Amino acid sequence: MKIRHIYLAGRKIKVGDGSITLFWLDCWINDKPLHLLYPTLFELCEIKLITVKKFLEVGGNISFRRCLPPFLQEQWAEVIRSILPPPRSMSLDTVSWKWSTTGAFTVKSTYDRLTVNNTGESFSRIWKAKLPYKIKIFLWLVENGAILTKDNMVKRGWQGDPSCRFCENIETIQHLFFECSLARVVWSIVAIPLKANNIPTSLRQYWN
Amino acid sequence: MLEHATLYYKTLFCPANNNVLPLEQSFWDEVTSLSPEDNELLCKPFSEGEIKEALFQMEKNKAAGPDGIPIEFFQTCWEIVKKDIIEMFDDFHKGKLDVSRINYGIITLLTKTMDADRMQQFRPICLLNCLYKWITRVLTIRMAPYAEKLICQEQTAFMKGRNIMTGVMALHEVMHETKRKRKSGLILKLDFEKAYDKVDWVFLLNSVRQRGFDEKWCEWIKQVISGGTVSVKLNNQIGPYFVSHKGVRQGDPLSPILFNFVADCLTRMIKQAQRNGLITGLASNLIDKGVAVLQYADDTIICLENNMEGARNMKLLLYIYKIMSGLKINFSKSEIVMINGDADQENQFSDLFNCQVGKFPIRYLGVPVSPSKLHLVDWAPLIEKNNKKLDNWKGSSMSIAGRATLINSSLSSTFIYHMSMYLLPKTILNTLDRQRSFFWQGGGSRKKYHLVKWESLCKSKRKGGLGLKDIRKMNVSLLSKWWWRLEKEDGIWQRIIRAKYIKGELVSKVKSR
Repeated sequence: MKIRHIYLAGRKIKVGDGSITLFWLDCWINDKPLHLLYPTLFELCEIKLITVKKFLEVGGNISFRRCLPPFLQEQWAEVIRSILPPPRSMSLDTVSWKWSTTGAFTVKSTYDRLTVNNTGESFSRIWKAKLPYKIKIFLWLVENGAILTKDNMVKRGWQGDPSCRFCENIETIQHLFFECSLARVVWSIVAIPLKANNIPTSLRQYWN
Repeated sequence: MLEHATLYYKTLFCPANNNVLPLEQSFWDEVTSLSPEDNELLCKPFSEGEIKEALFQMEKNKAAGPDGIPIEFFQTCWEIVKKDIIEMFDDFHKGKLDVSRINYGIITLLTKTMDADRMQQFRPICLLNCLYKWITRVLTIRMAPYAEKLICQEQTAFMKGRNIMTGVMALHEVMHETKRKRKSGLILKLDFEKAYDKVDWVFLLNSVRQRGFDEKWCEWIKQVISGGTVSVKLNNQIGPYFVSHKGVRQGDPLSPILFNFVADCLTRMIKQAQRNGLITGLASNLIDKGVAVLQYADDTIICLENNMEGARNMKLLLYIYKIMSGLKINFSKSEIVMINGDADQENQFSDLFNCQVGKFPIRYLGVPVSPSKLHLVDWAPLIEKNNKKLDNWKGSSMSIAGRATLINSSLSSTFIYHMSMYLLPKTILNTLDRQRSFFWQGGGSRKKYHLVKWESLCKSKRKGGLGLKDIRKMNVSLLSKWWWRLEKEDGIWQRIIRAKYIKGELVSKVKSR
């Protein structure tokens, strides 16, 4: 069931004679099927599975269960307008895939589409940097705030003193890498051969 | 050892007994054969573009043949050597080139099982010279589009637009339909013994010639396949060269297509028998005469109705095929299974074919297939395989980066193949995910913190994840491809499904899968 829905959602039809295209349910004029764009009209229409071919044959006069109130009539007129000029060709309808650039089905495009809701910041700077892969992953963990610094350990139920080994502050990622006095000393040593004149205060500074 | 191996392959490639039983020309009457225009295209002189295309199609970083020249040499020096090469192809076109002078190879033995102690357990891979492979590659590219037209749809291997899974799908639907309609049927899974190495040349050439290929083209194929010399290489020692008298080379780009022509003869013979009412296939209510045979290269499945007469005819047919083509069926390795049959009948059939009784689910092309729903137990081998890999890795201490790479390249890909056929059960998917949490666990048995949520690991790298695959979504996307294929392509399984579920309705109206 579910797979079919996904397939139908990604399928787009270029209407020829309209014999295999369903007027309401298939994607053919817009990227969305009409029944999603105009749910009330779809609810009221009598033949829900009408094909485009049939629709053209009856000249667009399809019957509704009751008289349309003015605002729905306005919507219906809008639908008719979006269809104009009506497709008139003898060739067959052709099915294509709207999520890939070529119009042919690819598993990758489908997978990308299904994971489209994943949002998150891209750390492309990390992945593009010329570093060993394990350092990259370490940096990625830093960005995710997932290094086992003492404050993180405490969150996970570690019983111990969360303060930094070198000073009294709490050991957080930010503290350990940038704010601790020892870290600042290290940074300033690094700065000498690089001839840099300021000390970084966050990783972000480097990326931006 | 080397002597033993050489002797083994010498006897394997020895001349065939001359009991050639040719297929009559009339057998091919109804079959589409090549038109004179096709033949003209096939036999035209080789163009530079064609030769170049073949060269750059060949994969890099492969072991070189006995002359020691790797393919990279020709690829980088194309501009320099091209004049000579084109001349060589011209000679070949005119039939002046003595192909046997470059057609010699070294058989390298690769083990099929972990502890191979018999000759049969080795896979003989033939390392050939690049020049020779180049010639056959050019021929392959020319031949491929015609092979698609000439070879039955039952064959699903090595051709553009045919997918390995379509055969499995067809088999699944046939079995399901038989079970659903409470009919009794017989599934025979055949195993050919050393299929590639035993093909009879005369039969091969005949089956190509009778498809209407031009005499010139057949002559080329004859030149390419025959007259080759091989030697066995073992422990870095090369044995004496000897001449082979049958078989197509493993490692030659032309072999799969040629083998398909040979295997296609069996399909055609079975179909002919079907038409004459000697045997009946299964699911005959869905497509005309039913499905009797499915092939993927030499992996053959035969479906028969529960009928002693038909089974006897089938056996005779297989025997005749063996005499003609030299392909012997290893009945002791073949399996027979019955759908809705009783044990008595099953034994009768297994006695007739002299092979073992298998049980469902049978493994066809590595995928379990069964007329009923698959159980969790049937997926255990899949889990087991991954576990075995994990055990190997656990010993070595790897960095987190190493583990990420391994998971992406190895663990995630083992089940892609299965997922393109079935929707895996949730339990299995969970187990697979648990296996992949090896990412955090590493080698030790001690439990370690999972520092980042699994979902964020599964995001793509552009979205701040590590690019691991979300297997559930992967599964769904792989399966939606079937809908696309159902609508866009035509083949046996599509015809079955259409007759079974769709019944002339539109794809968008159909409800089940």
